[in-house]
Amino acid sequence: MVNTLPYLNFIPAYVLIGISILIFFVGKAVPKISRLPVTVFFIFILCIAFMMEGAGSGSQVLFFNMIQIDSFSRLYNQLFFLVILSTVLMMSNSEEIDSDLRWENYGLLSTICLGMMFMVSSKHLLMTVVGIELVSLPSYLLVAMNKKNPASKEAALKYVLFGSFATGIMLYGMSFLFGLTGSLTFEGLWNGLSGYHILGSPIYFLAIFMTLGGIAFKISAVPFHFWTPDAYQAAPTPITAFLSCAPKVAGLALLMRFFAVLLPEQSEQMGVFISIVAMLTMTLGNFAALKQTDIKRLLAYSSISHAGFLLMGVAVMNDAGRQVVFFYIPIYLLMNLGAFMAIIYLSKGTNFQIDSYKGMIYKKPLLVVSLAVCMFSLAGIPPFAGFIGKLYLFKVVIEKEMFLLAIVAGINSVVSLYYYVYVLKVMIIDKDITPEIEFKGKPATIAFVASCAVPLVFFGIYWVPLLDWASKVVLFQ
Amino acid sequence: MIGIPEIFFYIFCALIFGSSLLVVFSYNLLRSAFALFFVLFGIAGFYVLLGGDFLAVIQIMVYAGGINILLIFGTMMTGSISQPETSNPSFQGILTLIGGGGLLLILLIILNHTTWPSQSLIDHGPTTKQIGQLLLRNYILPFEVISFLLVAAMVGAIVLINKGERS
Repeated sequence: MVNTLPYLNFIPAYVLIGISILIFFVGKAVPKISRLPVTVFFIFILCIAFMMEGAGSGSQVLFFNMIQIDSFSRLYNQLFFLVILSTVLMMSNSEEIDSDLRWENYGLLSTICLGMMFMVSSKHLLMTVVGIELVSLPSYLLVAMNKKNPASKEAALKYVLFGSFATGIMLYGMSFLFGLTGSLTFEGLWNGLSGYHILGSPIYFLAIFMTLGGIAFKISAVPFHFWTPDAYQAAPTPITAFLSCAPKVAGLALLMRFFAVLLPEQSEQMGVFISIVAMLTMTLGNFAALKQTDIKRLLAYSSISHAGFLLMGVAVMNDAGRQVVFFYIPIYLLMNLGAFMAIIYLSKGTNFQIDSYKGMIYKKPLLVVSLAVCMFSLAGIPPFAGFIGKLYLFKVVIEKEMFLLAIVAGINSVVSLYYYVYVLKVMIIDKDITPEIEFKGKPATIAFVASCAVPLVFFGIYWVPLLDWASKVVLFQ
Repeated sequence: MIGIPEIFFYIFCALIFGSSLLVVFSYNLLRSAFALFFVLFGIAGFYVLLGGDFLAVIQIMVYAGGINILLIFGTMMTGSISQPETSNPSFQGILTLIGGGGLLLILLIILNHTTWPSQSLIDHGPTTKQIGQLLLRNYILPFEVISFLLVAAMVGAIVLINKGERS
């Protein structure tokens, strides 16, 4: 027999997150443990994991072709730790989270984290399925655990039904792929599909499209986006912020790894297919966002359209595209998390109507200015970082001569400006008629939003450090 | 020339097809749940025909024996199961019909026109030993990681039920 224990040396962060899952789930059985500062402990674990991934080097294929550890997986894992860290900060500043359930919540977040780490490093369809399910199942639970909003049960059920449907379609497609090629590793699959009698035949497209369905569900790309607005609206706001960032990033990374070993003629076909999905996703997300009156639904549709923009970088199918996607993701995380944190502070109970934010600039000037930076950045207005990210996405697409995709994306950027600016118009120009209200939020919330806004301005002017970071993202190195 | 395996294949096909129609169209939920037992049993028959002895037993034990019994218990605990208004046949509109029928048609056409690379059935003997070795060797990572998923599902179910009790 082969001893696989030494393999664990190469994946210390995975082991650490696995142990933290056990600690959070089992730990609650210990009496009087709820007095311990569990949030500090979780943040400490995440920081250690971040440093472990930073210290790693080299490329390894582990566990009999199951996972691949390389700079791609390490850097994405670091991003996941940062997102979960911000989510934990948001959760401890939000009233929508049941503080009795902190242990369970952190355990579920750790499980999602482990799932995302396996998604970005998997090179085998079985590991892909396990990773996707490790992310999906705790996500359903986190949506359902909202004690304040009675709609959360319904939204969670919708999420579960759509999720299991998407997984079913994905598994059906994978069974076709296995039947056609007799292999489950990514290399084996694409090599097996390269024969001329298979390439371009109906079953080839059917099998691949069905397999991509499960990944599209995680990115909430068209046509697997229907769950997004309902689940986002009913979930506690910190969970919404988390779901709008992390699983999407993991899905995109998985997609890039799935397409990393394509043969040239396959990459041509898949590039066209992904660019069609990208165009549909951004157009549908943007036009549906135009008529929203609830800020969480608006941000949900905005996140759908951003998934479309990020898919542009996937569609070009080369190293430049993958690096641009990684370049855009930290910017997207900053602006999205900042916007959601501002909503947590401004909202009362479960009222998230945009109209209730009239004249907020006179009450909380710093917060609204920071939110405005995030919103302008989401829309892609020049001095802010969102513009630079979109600029690079357009650059790689035009270099690959995908002009239609570039034109559609350009039109969509203009359309998206309308609804972002509408929110700011309500907050800044409209006069408030409601009596004075007390904000119960902590000052730390405003500091969080401001600390999201400052880097957005900084990277908008000087983005070289981010570009250097992104240039390290290379597959198989 | 039709051999004995082919005869059994068609018997299992008829069993699955007939009972799934019962599952979908029966007006009594309890009868649907019982009919599901025969669907799952028929699938176990397919595994036997393909030489997957271990899978067939697992299929009967877990699906036909375990999950289906749970389903039947669950159905018995719901009130007024024999009333037609709480029953399962429903018509969701013409668009759904077109969508579902179209998907069926596409699948039928594509799967019929595909030549699958097939292997002849070799008698490997009992598969239990090989499956055990694969699970603890090539597939050790998913095998271990899936346990985290089960723990998370269990904790989540307990938390949700607990919360419902308190409120």
